[in-house]
Amino acid sequence: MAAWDLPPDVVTVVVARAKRSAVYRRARPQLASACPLDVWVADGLGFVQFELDDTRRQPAVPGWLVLAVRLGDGAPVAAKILEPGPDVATMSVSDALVE
Amino acid sequence: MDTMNRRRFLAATALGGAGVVSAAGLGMLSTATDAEAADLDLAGQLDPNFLEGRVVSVDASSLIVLTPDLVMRRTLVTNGTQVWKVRDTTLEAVRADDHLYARGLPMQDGTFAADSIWINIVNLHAEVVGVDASTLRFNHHGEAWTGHLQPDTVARYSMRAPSRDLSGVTTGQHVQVVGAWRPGTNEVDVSTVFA
Repeated sequence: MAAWDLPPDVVTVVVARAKRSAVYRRARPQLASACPLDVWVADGLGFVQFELDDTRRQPAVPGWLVLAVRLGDGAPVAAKILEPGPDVATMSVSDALVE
Repeated sequence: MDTMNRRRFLAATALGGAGVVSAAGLGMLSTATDAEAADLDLAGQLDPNFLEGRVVSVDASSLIVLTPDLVMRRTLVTNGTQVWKVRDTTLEAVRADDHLYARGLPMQDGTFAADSIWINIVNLHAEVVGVDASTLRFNHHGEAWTGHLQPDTVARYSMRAPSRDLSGVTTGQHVQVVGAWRPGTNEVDVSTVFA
């Protein structure tokens, strides 16, 4: 996805800060691409969504990583992995910052 | 779901607690049950590249799927479609009343061309309450579940490489179980145990 509704310099800053985080480095082998699915800004935070590569996961389940970084200093404030949940029509949300 | 609602949901999910949210796939978030997301207006459009529903019928190259909004969608399956049901498999393993998640492309004629299909996939966080040679018994939110071990069931201990050795899965452990639910039961065919 390349049509984010943010100025290019903002996208660059948000994505760069997300990619400098330890959680990104840990998750990178699981990502389908280093290119985010989406990037947006809300309430002073930058959000970056990556798709997990189901072909590299065991088992091959779909999933997404959502990273939130503070715009001021780039510190990661949250990171969650969303995967199929325990029941049909649910998603399981796990904390990727504390892994 | 439009982009703004999807982003609001994802932002709330990222900043909220870990757990389970109501979502029939990322793109089909019609309601959210956790407190952080409860006030969001998520009644939106479906992600066109994601399909979810109950399998109504199966033929040689397609499935008829009844979606949660009660729309019948013919789902096309080709040689290139990845099908998962406990393990990578083929369309022959899919049965009526199975629950399907699929990723793919909507076609102009209303059919859905699937790239990947997951059948009955579940992801249980549970406490192991019993182990024997062929089953795991576990407590999932106060309910008793049975996990049927398969010849290719693997365990991942502390996220290390998958291992066929399940001896490290013991009573009292809290584990994550990925497998295929047996519809209408509290039973699951276990693919992977994260211990």
